[in-house]
Amino acid sequence: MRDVITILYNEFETLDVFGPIEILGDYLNILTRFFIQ
Amino acid sequence: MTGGIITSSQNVPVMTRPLSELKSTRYVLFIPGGTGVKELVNNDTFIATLKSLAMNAEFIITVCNTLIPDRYSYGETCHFEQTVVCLDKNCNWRELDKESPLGKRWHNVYQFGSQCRDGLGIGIRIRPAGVSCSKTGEPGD
Repeated sequence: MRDVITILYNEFETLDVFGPIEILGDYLNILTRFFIQ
Repeated sequence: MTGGIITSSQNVPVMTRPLSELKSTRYVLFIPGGTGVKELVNNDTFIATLKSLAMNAEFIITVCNTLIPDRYSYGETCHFEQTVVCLDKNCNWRELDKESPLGKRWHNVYQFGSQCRDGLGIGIRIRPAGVSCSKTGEPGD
């Protein structure tokens, strides 16, 4: 199991996160975790 | 990087956790794009943290007009290769203008076509950790 460390910051692009994460789930066995600036 | 609610350009709030809670030794670093990058590129503390995370990541994934951490300092550029996952059939990566603020600061900064913000042109570039580097690295398109 891999963690996906996502760097979120104010004014990130919503679609840049939630669209790709959904796709990545098909490619990688992942556990998504959000971290920030 | 203390965690808390972060709000996207579309006003979507997301609860996040501080990096100090990070315990993973095997992880994928995912960096989304967004207009907030314009400020982050001049934030030395953030940049240093990002580099540190990138150094230990198994993969680095960037989307759209985001920062691509150069884990290899000293002016070397790194190949971008391996898997490219696109939501759009016309995957068209191009290198960021080297004269732009981002381009001056970072090597191998790529944008995905010109439709980044319309929801159609989102792409993901995955670069494995520890890829070979060269001083004349070319993108792996």
